[in-house]
Amino acid sequence: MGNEKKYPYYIENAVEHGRVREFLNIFAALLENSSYRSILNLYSRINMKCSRCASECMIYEATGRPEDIPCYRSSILLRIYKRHFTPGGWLKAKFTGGSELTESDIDEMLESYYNCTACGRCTRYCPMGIDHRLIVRLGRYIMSEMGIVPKALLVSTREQLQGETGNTSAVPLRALKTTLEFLEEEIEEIKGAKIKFPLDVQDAEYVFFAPVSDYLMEADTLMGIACVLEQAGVSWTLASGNYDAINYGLFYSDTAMGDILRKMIDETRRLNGRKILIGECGHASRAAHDFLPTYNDGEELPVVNIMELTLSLIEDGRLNIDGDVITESVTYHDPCNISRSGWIVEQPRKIINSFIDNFIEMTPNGMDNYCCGGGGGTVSINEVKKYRMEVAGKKKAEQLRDTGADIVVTPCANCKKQVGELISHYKLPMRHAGLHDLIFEAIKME
Amino acid sequence: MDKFLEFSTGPLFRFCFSLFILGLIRLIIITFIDIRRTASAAGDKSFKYGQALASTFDWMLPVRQILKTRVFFSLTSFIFHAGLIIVPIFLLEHVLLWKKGAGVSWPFLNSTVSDILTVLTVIAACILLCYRIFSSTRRFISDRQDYFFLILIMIIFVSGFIVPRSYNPLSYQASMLVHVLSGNLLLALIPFTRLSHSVLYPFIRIASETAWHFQGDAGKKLNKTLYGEENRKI
Repeated sequence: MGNEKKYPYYIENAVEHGRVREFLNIFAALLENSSYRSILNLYSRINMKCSRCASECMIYEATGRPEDIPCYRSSILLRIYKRHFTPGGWLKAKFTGGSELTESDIDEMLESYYNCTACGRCTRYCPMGIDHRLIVRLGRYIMSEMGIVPKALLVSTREQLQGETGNTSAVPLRALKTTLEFLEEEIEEIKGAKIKFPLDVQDAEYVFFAPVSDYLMEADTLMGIACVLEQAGVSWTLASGNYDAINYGLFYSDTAMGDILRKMIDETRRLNGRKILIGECGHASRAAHDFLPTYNDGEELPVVNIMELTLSLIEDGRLNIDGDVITESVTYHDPCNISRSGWIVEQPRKIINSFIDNFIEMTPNGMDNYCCGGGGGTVSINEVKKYRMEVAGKKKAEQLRDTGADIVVTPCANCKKQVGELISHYKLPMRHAGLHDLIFEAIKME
Repeated sequence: MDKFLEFSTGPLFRFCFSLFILGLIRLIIITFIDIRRTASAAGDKSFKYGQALASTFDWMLPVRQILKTRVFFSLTSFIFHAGLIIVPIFLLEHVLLWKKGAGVSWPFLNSTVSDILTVLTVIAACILLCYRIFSSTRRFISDRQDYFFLILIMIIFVSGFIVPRSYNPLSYQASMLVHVLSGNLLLALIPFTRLSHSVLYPFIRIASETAWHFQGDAGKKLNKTLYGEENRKI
């Protein structure tokens, strides 16, 4: 009890007392065992709070609350760091008093840091170059070590790391095999082609990891990917020991992120695969692409997003996709985790333009695109759905409506769920689809 | 008053200026070491420093990023910073003082240009101050430092501007004293306040890029410190 009132999302064991001491203990341990101190030193020196980021944050735009300005979010943690972990802060407190960490600071952070969808747009627009996304993530990390982490994220991660099924949706291997058989039958029925989802093939070029929820909800995406890879004759395989790309550690914990990536590395090594192929999933792609080298003891193991691969297959002329099938107008939503860094911006557009005539850009787009409103793990937290619809997703809904497109392509499991919910919440006259869903419709498998 | 002015432009200035230079050198060294330490502890040693540098330059000049949105605010801020850096360094009177005092010399601005720049800087500072005062959200995130420095900078620029004018309401000495004292104060405070961004700016994006490269075993070490074992059930 009391949990619902005190915390805006469910957490397992609501901590009520002694949080201040625990927060500081964990913060101190983290500073001792990681490299965060360097960046906190720098940011806490130069945080000007010019509020340039305010106009770029969709949350602040929707609420107008000054607490939602990105540099204010960061300043909470920076102030605590400065006060408790730097000589200057200690000295200042001697003279002016106050500014110690309080219970209400913790309340503020646990709300603020999960109101933020960690999309990184403010970081891109900070004239100073302060990475607010890094600070929000660090705040979440510290709180997660105190047990303050949305239950939805914790339970999934626990199942993935310690559970019997080893994946976030608790899909047993037997169920996966049944699903794959079902997908194979569907492909045969719809496309008239006999395709097998390869499982545990040794020495394949690509070991494929999709967000496991796709096996439950996004059959078309998976069928599209299978058709592409089979038609082009790519050597690929799924792995029975780990078939989940999802990595919530990216959103709240370095510890969890490392453990999840090590699992992925181990499984790829077991099969002697040469590359890791990630399906249509933004955060999983970024987690693996950007952070896998950190946990791979310096060994090279390339990470490829499916859209990079599909584009290269199209450019090599290895795919037969019918340009007359999709006649509706199509727009593209850039998932923050793959587009903000500029990594995957052009590839999906080239793929779309290769078989769809009527492509409409969203404004803004690419590296400047707005988040769907469900980023940073918030899409899996059901109890904040109202917030995701009315606040975080408001801007995206407006953007979608303005395009007037019939289909919005969202090659990310997170964004797919959020955008789908936005479309029904705002009654937008469009449907959403994965990029490979459309390819599946148009590909000729003869 | 003459004696005091002499003291302010002499020993006091030398003290404040040394504090300024040494303080900034200290900050640069600390920041450099911090970045190096993070980079060498990182599990992944490939850094996108090119991208970070390009973005650093992008945000220094109002050519691409800055003018995408918030044009008025961004331009105001740019003019403010440009004036703040250019005028004190290239003002004829300052160059002459350096020549006289230290025997070094460099090009100076035409006095009309420096007058215009000074006025623009003061206007820009006024606008930035108004943002902080009259916008309720801006007021919420501002603290004393933010107002104090804007006002201090305005005092320095206005007092310096009126020193040689016929309409100077203060005496030459009085306005000069205000100018020199406030200027000294600003110099001395820069290394110890958020104004240090003036020299740390080029390092920030490099540092941010480095900070995303974690230590591979940080999670395990943290577990060991907090719970006594490297792996623990969550």
